[in-house]
Amino acid sequence: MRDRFHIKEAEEAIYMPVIDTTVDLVHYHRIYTGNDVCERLIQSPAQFKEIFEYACCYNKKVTLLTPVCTESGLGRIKAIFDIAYKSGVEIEAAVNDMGIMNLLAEGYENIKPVMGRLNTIRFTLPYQSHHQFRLSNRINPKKRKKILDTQIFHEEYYDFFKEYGINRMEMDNRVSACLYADHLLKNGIYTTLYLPYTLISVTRRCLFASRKLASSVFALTGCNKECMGAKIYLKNKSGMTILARETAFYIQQDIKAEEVYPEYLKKIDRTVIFPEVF
Amino acid sequence: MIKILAPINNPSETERLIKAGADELYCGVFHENWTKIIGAVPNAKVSKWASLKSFKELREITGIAGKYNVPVYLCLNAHYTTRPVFELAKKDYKEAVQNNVSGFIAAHLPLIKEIKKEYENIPVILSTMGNCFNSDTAAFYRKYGISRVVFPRYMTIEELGTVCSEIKRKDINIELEAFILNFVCRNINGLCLMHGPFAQFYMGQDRSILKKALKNIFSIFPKSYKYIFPIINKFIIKQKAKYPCMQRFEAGFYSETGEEEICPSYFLGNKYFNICAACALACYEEMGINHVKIVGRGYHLNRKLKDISFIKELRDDLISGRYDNNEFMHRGQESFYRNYGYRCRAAECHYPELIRRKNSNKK
Repeated sequence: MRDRFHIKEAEEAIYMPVIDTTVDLVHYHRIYTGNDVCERLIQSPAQFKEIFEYACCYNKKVTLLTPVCTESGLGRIKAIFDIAYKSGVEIEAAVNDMGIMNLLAEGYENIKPVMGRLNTIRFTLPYQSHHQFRLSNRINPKKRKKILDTQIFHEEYYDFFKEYGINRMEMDNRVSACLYADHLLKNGIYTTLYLPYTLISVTRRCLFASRKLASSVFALTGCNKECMGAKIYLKNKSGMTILARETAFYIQQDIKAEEVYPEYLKKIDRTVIFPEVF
Repeated sequence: MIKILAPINNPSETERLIKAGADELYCGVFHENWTKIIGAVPNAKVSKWASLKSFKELREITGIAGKYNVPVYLCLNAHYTTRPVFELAKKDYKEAVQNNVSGFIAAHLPLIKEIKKEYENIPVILSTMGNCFNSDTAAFYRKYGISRVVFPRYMTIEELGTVCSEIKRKDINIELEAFILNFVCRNINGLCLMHGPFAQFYMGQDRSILKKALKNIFSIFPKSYKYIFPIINKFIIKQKAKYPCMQRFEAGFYSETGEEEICPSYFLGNKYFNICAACALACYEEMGINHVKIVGRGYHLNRKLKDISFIKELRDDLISGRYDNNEFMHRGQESFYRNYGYRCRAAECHYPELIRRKNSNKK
C-alpha cells in the first residue's frame, strides 16, 4: 500500500495504535499512535509508554492522536502528556478538541500541538471534492475564485495558529490537501495527508456494542472494546460505499489525486498511512 | 431559576410563545442571499422553512419580545468555510444588531472573534456545534468572550455533572445550557459532514451517476426522454430530499472472528428521533445549569406551545420544592402522558440511566 501513496520528498508516517513488529519501520520517519475518534479508545499510559519507547528505540518521531473528550478522557490524555513531558523528547499532539489545545497552552513545552483532522474540517477548510473541482474548472474564472476562495487566503486566519504555536494541519481529504497545501506552506503551515480514508462523521454512541445491526439502541456508556477488529461496510443504490470503524464513518476516495494534481501534491509535507480495511 | 429557551420561526408566534412560558427565544434568518451561493447555510438547521425569511421578520419578533423583556438570539452556528459565505455571515450579524437582536448562537471561532471585536457587550453563546465536552473547552472559548456554552447532546448525566462541577471548581465565569426536548441524531453535530459539505459531494456524485446513465439510455433510445424525464424528476426530488444520513444503506457487519451479518436497511444517522430530558431538570438545577433549550424551530406552533408548557409546568414543580427526585421524575412522566397522550419510552429518554437509578432506588 505504501507504494501506491508514496509522494516524493514527503515525510512518511504509519499509524500504529499498538506495537506491530510485522511493519518494516525502515520506510517510515514517524509513528502515529492514539485514537482521534473515540475517547474510550485512548491508550493507557502504560500502552503509550510502550509504543513511545519502541519508537525511540527505532529513532522514529511520535505523533499522538487525541479525540474530542469529556472530563474523564481529558484526565487520561493528561496522564499520557505527563509521560511525554517527563521524557523530555519532543512529540506532536494532533488536537481535535479545543480543551486539549487549552491544556497544551498552559504547559507541556515539548508537546507541539498540530491541528487534528476533525479540527481542520470544522475550523475553516471546506470539503473540496474532486467533482466540485472539476466543475469549477469548467465555469468562468470569477465564479471559480468564489468557489475555491477560503479563509486560508486571508491573513487574519493565521492569528489563531500563531497564538497557539501551530504550524501543521492534518487533513484526510486528498483534494482539499492538494488544493490548499501550497498556500498554507507560503504562510508557514505544513500539510499532513491521511490515507486512504476520509472521515465523514463521528458519533459517541458505539456502533458495535449491540452486535446487532438492526438494533436501534446504541450504547453511550460502557465499553468492552467490541469494535476491535470489527467493521461495517455500507452500500446504497447509487453505488456509494461507506465504511464504519470504531465510532466513525469514512469514505475511501477512489480519485487518484496523485495523477490528477501532481503539481499540487508536491507541496504535501507528510503522509500518514492507516491500515486498509477492505 | 432555570430559563427556557424556545424556538421561533414566525413573528406571529412571538406573543403566544412568551405567554406560554418562554423566557428566551432563538431563531435563524435564511434570506435570499444565502440561496445565491451553492451549499451555503446560515445556521446548523439546513431546512429553509425552519428559519425566518428576512430581517424584517426578526425586527418584528424583537419588537414584540422587547415589550415583555424577553431576549431574542440569532443562530449563526454553521461553519463558514468559504470566504463569500463568511462575509455573508458577517453582514448578517451586523444587520441583526441593527434589528435589536439580544445575542448570537455561534460556533465558528473566526466569526465569534469578529462579533466580539465589533460588539463587545453583545452576548455570544457557544452552540452545540462547538463541541464543549469538557471544562477546558469552556475555558478556551471563555477567552474569546463566550458568555454561555450549550453542552452537546451525547453526554451521560454523570459526564455532564462532572463537567459542570469542574467548571465551577476552576471558577470559569460562564453560563451553562443543556438540551431538554426534541431532535437527536446519533452523530456528533459539530463533527458531522453529512448535512454540509459532504452532502454536496455526495449528491454531486449521485447526479453524475444519473447523468451517465441518461447519456447511455438516450444514445440507444433517442426518443425515450418523453417517458423517462417524468420518472427521473421524481427520482431526483427523492434523492435531493434525503441527506446521506437519512438514506437507506445495505450494511455488512464483519466481526473480528470473520462473522458476517447482513442488514438490508441501515441509517448512518439512525434517523431522527425525539428525545426528552425533562426528568433531568432537577439534576440540571443541582449541576448549576441555568438554561434549557427546546429544539424544533420548524415545528407547528401548537407543538411548540405544548413543549414550553410541559417544561414550564415541571420547572414550577421544581421551584415549589415539594417533590424529591423520584417523585419529580414520576411527575415528569405523568405530565408527559397528559401533554402528548402516550407514555414516555426508554428509547426516547435522553438519560435512561436516570430511570435505572430511580428503579434501583425503589428496590
